[in-house]
Amino acid sequence: MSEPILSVRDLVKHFPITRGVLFRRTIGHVRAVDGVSLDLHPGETLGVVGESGCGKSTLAQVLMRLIPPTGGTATFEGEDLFAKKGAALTAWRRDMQIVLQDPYTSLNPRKTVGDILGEPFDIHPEVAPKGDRRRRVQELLEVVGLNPEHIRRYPHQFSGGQRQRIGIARALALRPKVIVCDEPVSALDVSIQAQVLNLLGDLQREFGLAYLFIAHDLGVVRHLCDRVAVMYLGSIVETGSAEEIYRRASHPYTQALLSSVPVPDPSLRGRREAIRLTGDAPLPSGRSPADPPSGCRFRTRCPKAQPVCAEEPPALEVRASTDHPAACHFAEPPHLVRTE
Amino acid sequence: MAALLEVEDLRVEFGRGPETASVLNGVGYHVDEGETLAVLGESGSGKSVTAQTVMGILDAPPGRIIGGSVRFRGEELLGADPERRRLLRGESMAMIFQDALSALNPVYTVGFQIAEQFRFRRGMSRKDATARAVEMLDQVRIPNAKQRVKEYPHQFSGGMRQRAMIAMSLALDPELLIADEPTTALDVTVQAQIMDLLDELRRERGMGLVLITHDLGVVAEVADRIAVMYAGRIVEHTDAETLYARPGHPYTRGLMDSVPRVDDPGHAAGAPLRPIPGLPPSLAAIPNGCPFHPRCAYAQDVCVDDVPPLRELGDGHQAACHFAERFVAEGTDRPTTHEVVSG
Repeated sequence: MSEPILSVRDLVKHFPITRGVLFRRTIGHVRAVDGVSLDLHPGETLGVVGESGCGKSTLAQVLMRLIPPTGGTATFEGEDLFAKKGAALTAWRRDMQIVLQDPYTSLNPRKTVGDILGEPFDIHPEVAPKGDRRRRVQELLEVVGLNPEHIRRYPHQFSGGQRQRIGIARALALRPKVIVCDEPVSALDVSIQAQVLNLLGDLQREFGLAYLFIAHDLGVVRHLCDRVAVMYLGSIVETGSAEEIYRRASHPYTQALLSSVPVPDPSLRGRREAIRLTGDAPLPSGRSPADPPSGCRFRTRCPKAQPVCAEEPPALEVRASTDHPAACHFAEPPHLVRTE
Repeated sequence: MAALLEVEDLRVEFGRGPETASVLNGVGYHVDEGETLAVLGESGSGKSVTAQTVMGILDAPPGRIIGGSVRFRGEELLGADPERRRLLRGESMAMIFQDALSALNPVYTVGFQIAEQFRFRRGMSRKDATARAVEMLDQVRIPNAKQRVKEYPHQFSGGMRQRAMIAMSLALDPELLIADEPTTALDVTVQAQIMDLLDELRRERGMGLVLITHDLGVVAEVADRIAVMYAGRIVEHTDAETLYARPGHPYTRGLMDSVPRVDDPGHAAGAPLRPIPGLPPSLAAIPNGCPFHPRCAYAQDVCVDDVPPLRELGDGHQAACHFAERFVAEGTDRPTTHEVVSG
């Protein structure tokens, strides 16, 4: 395989929990991202799945250099991502762009579509000379399947799916190499969601983009992603090719997650294995991920937990019984854990 | 089995003048005792407005009921005395909502909000009512209910709040529960817990359940019958097995082809989805003829001219399409996935 374009090692992001108004003191940390490593190769899609509060959006924000990391390293095309500053940082931003979840709040309501899509060129004037911008913006609209005549319209004049297309066009404007997609279709209706997913697939083929695709919908991730990383409470608990994760999930959390997804086929009713977790994931604020369970973080909800799980955090590695890395002492393919 | 709820030809408009939105254009369905009817549709299809009209909580104005009938155990509710309707709410029919945090009152404890019903409807003392509230929280499997009853909604997690709302809605033992997107805001592992709980409670109590959702997966797992809504109309209505195996309306078919499935190898490896082109119509300007025709790949001249009525196709399968028989005969061509799941 080619060299990774984005390579992340042991990334950590902790948010301090403070108390007091005048004398603010730190009483603990929310460990939103706690030791994440991943590689993204040119032209591929890496899915990051997990439930609310698992740190997947924080991961995106750190990698976009929107918030500073607490620890760990990341390289983009071999260069240290977190050391970039000034002109080098600005130049790098052309290469890595983001599409956000909510197409209603991520577009400025006072700007026309032309202004929104023209702004990247204001910041990076070397990409398109001034006289050429209108044409470039109209091209972008066409590429994402919108009417180029609508350049003077405001975001509120578009539907949710169309707004998400505007968000995608904005990310595409500077011809990036990597696009981070943070839940890009979860606010959309099913029929519109499918249109946007197909668009993302087409754009990837046309422009050779790499996607870091963050989502909670396992069906969407299976459809779009080459490789998948499953996150739980700030860490990756299992990673592998889409095939490995969806057919041979070996971490009990991934297995429970897959078993919880309802399948649109009534003839399978009662025939699928039901693994039900108890309770919710510990919350990202308050008592919990500030103070995650000792040993394996999943053990409090895990049907397979043993005493060793409370003592030793399991490493993310390939074990004798599995063909891809999972962070579980008892990782095994799904057919061995039928419990009916 | 006796029909619990019958809705017939319900018509609701919002606003006035040229901007008038026809939100419901003749909606009809029925729910029997102990069964689950799923109302499936995308945003703006009218599924929640139908439920609000049934419950008598439609905001009017701007909403305006211009026709139709809603009967509970044969009793007409539209135009009934508001006091009578108030008594039915909670006792006979109850509703739970998508966003439990905004449906619960933030300044009262969860226990108080459940106990309130026992105090005012059953005349119980504060103490007895609180004891019943603890029982209710127990029934919806909230651990440590005795302590939890004293907590406020913000101290509950998302799944717990939804459980508390279910406890509240079932306090007075209603015969019909309307659940409006009860799991949309929840994570998938918690969604599975809540759906299991709702199904269990329905079975235990022999309660009728109307499940409003946009999620084809959830519907497939729990519904007995399904009504598919589009632009304020029911466009297809049948049992769950038939709907997924032999949909009679191209919109239903389109929805199924739009969903990337977690278990479907056919969709993996970048095979494109087959989405429905275009957008749902504006309810202030619903197209002539079949409201779906501008997005329909099979539309003919007749679809532009004539509104297809919801027709009986046999065995209780109804669809509002001029060519429904043809689609039913074709069935779905998706590859079977049984080997994958049971293998």
